Amino acid sequence: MTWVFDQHKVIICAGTGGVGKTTLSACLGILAARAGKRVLVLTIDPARRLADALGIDTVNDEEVPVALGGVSGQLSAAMINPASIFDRFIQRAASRKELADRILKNSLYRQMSTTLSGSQEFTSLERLLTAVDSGQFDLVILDTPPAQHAVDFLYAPQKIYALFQNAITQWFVQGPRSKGLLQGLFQRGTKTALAALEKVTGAHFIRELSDFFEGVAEIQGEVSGRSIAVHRLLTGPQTAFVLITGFDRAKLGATRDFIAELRRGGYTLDSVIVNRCLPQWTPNPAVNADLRADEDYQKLLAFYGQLQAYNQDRESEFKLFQEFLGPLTPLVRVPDLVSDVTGLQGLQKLADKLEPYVKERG
Amino acid sequence: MTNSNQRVVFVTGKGGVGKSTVAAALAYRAAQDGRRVILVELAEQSYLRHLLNIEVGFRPTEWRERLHVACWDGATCLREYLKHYVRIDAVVDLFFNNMVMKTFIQAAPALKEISILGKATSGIRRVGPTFEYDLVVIDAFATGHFRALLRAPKGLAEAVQFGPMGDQTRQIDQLLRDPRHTSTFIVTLPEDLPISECGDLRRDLASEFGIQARVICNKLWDIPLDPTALLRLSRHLAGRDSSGLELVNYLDVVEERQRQALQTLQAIDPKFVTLTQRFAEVGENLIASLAERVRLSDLGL
Repeated sequence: MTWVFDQHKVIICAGTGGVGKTTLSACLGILAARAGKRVLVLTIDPARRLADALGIDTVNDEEVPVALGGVSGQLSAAMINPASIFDRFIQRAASRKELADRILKNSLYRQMSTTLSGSQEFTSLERLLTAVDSGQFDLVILDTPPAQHAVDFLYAPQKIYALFQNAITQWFVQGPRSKGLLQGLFQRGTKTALAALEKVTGAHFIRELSDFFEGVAEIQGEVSGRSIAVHRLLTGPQTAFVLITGFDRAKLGATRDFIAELRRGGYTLDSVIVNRCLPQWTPNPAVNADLRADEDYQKLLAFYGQLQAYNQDRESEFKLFQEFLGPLTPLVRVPDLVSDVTGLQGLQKLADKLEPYVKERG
Repeated sequence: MTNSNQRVVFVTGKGGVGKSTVAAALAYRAAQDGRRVILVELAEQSYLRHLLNIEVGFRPTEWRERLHVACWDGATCLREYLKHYVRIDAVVDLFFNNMVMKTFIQAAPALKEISILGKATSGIRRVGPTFEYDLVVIDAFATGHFRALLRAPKGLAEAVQFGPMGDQTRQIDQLLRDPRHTSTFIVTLPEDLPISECGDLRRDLASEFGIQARVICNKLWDIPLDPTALLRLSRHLAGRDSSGLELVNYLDVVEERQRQALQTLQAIDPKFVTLTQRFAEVGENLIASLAERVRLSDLGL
């Protein structure tokens, strides 16, 4: 019997929103701790009840041991706080304290570190790398930030790295420098474009921007170094993706797109968990006959008929999905585990229920 | 100078709660009631396209009478805005075809968010290209990103105090807070996690912006059997029909979960509205059927 945490040191739980990704990540953490691992679950923006269940503080982002009791391993959990991770990253990357202060005080930086699309992904990966590098854990599970398209997770960090790229920063810091005819033309274009931007935004905005890029230019080297390390970690054999999806057409479709991207990018897909499948009923003919005149039983049959119609479309999509995935990747179908997660005990109960489903792959 | 009749409606909620469908149903209903409506998705790729089987792009497409659909992304909104003010296409093209600027627009702090909100409020502010609708229904980002969207004007106005950028962002920020022009709806499911996210967002919107968002609870199951009936059935099924027993137990838990959910929602927004789960309908039929059950006056529209 093998499960994902026997083969990998990093698990990335990814998927569309509303499929119980954070909850299942926490459950995987519990199962890994039961299997004797020292495991850390990193989660971004957990619902309060889940944060309470794990005993993590939504303001403080330190690693907190979770008191599971009676397990051979150790589960820890931490909240990812994008703003503070970004700040720490800048402090570490900047060679001088004045430089770090200058970036940290820039008003656009303050905006960017929390609100920029892609900043959550960037900080999640930065946090992941720090946790892996610390050597304190056998396994780190990353619950990815919610995104409209799960695929965004793979590309969002690139958007941030692009911001720190040579071209833009050079341009803001040193202004156009002519090197050859083609480049000269390109830079004149940039200058005209900048003038257009200034016309609608005002000189103040442009000044703040160039101040920001000047600061950023000096930490470029560190950023690209981290970017390479993150990419190496994500594509390396120690890392596996577990995709968590829901039982409906749109979600299964989106997951298919994500898998195609993973395959293209050379990432390791461990397994797919389809959460929240509805119960299936095969009525017993003898009971059917006995309860022929029972009004409530007839209502139940009628209601299940509705549910089935609702399910049919999903089942056919699920079959297509199964074919697409192929026989080599485990596909775990988890029923809608309706018990609401209240406290750590609730989470542990959910992990109990999950255990047979994630182990059946063995 | 403002178009006092236009109203912008934001629809947000945790991912997977049916935000797009609810936004479409509100727009559909408003158009049926005789208003000129545009339903706007905020995305780079349209999702409604699959639902409605029509092409949806940046330019409005007519879906039904008085009802247009569009899909906006920040970069295209910015492009349109620049085009309107710079007026020289060649310069705008230069701007957008330039690799450096392309990367910059993708990454620049808050620029895309401001461009989107700028366009959404352009009819009210009477700036930019003509935008003549009575109602602008925006199928907005999920909760986390939605907070960032609303915070962008305030943050940028603080960062850039002088010049056109500062003035416009202050104007936009004002409009977002003005209940005569802007309404916000948070869609949730009758389940723990979406509700707790909904409650957090509603509280934040109230404290940060003074916005009183209304809550819409989607996909409420209309189970025709009460707990007593389910208990009785479970006795008949026990030992004879295990999958049936599982179904009955499941329905019992769903009912209990819904009962608690409605109680919690009552405390979050006493005027919350519910939409019943439609099992048989999908796509446009689902939207039409939800629209039939929505009363806009209940939602303050």
